[in-house]
Amino acid sequence: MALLGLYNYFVFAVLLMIGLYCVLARTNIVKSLIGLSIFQSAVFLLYISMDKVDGGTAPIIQEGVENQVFANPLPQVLILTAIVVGISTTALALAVAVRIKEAYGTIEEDKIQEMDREP
Amino acid sequence: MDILLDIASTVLLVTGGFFVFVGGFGVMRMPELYTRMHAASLTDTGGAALILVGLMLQGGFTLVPLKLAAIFLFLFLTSPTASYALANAALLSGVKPPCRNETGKTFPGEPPVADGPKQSKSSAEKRTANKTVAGKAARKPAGKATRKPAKKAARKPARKKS
Amino acid sequence: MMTIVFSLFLLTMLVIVAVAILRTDNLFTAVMLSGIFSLIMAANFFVLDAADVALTEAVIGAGISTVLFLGALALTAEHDHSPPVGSWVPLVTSSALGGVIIFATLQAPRLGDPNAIVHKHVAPWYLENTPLLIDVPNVVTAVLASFRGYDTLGEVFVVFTACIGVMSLLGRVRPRGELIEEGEFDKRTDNLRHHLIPRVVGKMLVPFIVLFGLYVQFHGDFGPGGGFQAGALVAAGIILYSLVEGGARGRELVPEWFSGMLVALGAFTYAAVGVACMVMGGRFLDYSVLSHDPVHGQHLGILLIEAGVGMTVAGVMITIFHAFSRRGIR
Repeated sequence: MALLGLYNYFVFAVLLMIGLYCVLARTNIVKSLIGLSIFQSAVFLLYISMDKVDGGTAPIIQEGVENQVFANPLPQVLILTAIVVGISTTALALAVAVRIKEAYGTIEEDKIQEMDREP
Repeated sequence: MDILLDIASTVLLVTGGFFVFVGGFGVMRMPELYTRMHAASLTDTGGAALILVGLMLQGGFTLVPLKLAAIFLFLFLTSPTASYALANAALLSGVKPPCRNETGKTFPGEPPVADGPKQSKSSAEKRTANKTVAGKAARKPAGKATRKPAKKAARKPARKKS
Repeated sequence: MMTIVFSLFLLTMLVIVAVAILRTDNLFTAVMLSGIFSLIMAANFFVLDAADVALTEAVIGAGISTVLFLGALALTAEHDHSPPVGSWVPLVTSSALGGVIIFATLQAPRLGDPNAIVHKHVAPWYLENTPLLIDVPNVVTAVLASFRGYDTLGEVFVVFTACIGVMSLLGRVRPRGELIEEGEFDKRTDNLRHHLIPRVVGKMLVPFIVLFGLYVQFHGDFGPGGGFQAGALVAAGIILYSLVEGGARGRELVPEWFSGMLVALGAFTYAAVGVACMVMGGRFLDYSVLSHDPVHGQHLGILLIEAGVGMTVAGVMITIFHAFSRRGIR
């Protein structure tokens, strides 16, 4: 039963594995970027799982309600900005992928390395 | 009065859940794109409407039922538009609805039509029918899942009258 | 009890969708599934009591990210032609990493434990002192904008830098090739003007989306919301209009110089508020000196910097979208 309380962390580990495998085993650049975004989302899941408190609600203080139990606001702040930064860096990486496609004609990493090795 | 409201909202929520379940089940069991879209649109309109009305009854006279009504209005406007855009895109890509007079062609991997409802499809086909589209007309702030045509080559399914 | 079952179900769905993304060959399918992945993740965040984060993930992950990936897919390949995995190294590496993490998390406090270390030090201080010092109901906005305002300044500049990067890579220079004439119906045209129903409904929805974005921006003090979500929402509305009417008309509605100016103006506003605090006698980003009363000064400071954040994020998303969509005009 104790394992049930740790289910979030197991899912985090599995998603991390899937994202990393997607980056390592696939040679297509856009597919690797999608895998990387899965990796990022798994890290967000870890942080937000840490902030839940039993019987708490979202950390919005309401008038006149005393002794309210709140969830921890700090990881939420960190992850909020992390999500926006993640999409910005993904957009930059996609722009690089588009330029690679225009320069090499393909976005498969093994073919790009072959083309680079030719004199 | 409270008991009546509770009973009514329970009935509505359960019926809405049943519609959602039927929609999901239909997407898996229907043979091809257009029939699957028909089943899935049941989830969007019938299921969503009943669930939202059931929740509205629980809200009392505060601002919450008004917000739920606004959500329902937007859902009601955009999900049929999304289905239309999907069907239109499918037609333009060459996915044809099953016609009656084609000469003896069925889906690959299917028994002839005389047996009735089709067997479960391969996982690849199920996956392609469960894709979502970045809702050109269904873009909503909270994101919305709709379906997208298969990008495979044109299929020509046929139904033989047995 | 029901919430436990519900969250277990959602987490399992996450893993299933991630495996499906891994195994598919069609990149289009993978992008759509990643949109579903973000939406389920947003529902998960909501079950875990993180309302702001759920809103942000839903808007950005399921909305903007899907559009950007589709824009990039239109310019690159559609299928993943990876060779079958030759060596065992990726599988062993990922499994080893997963195993180590699972072993490490066996010692973590269970979900929702109120005595966990993470709830001990700074968080109770924030929860107690927000009504006293800042008096804003949404604690997350207060921490983001005021207590940790310096971090948020850095984030805004990271977003700004990414926009500059995309603009310098994909540029404003039209690539060589012929332009499609406006009004000529070509299957490869970049708008939906020929389809009446999506066009009418799309154009009808755009003002409501922008209005909702503004509501989220100014309501960020009292409920879930804030600058990041609002900027992404307004950008989503403008992108919807550009998708329905075509890139050229979208650029007539919000010209490129305007969205570029928004990007720079938002970051400048943020930094200018900080410098103004220094000029008026406090420290950098210490809003208490902005007004006669420290609490009012905090309110004013939070309002200004959230506006700056919203402007930057909206401008960045619109600029990046137009950069991708212009590149494809051949």
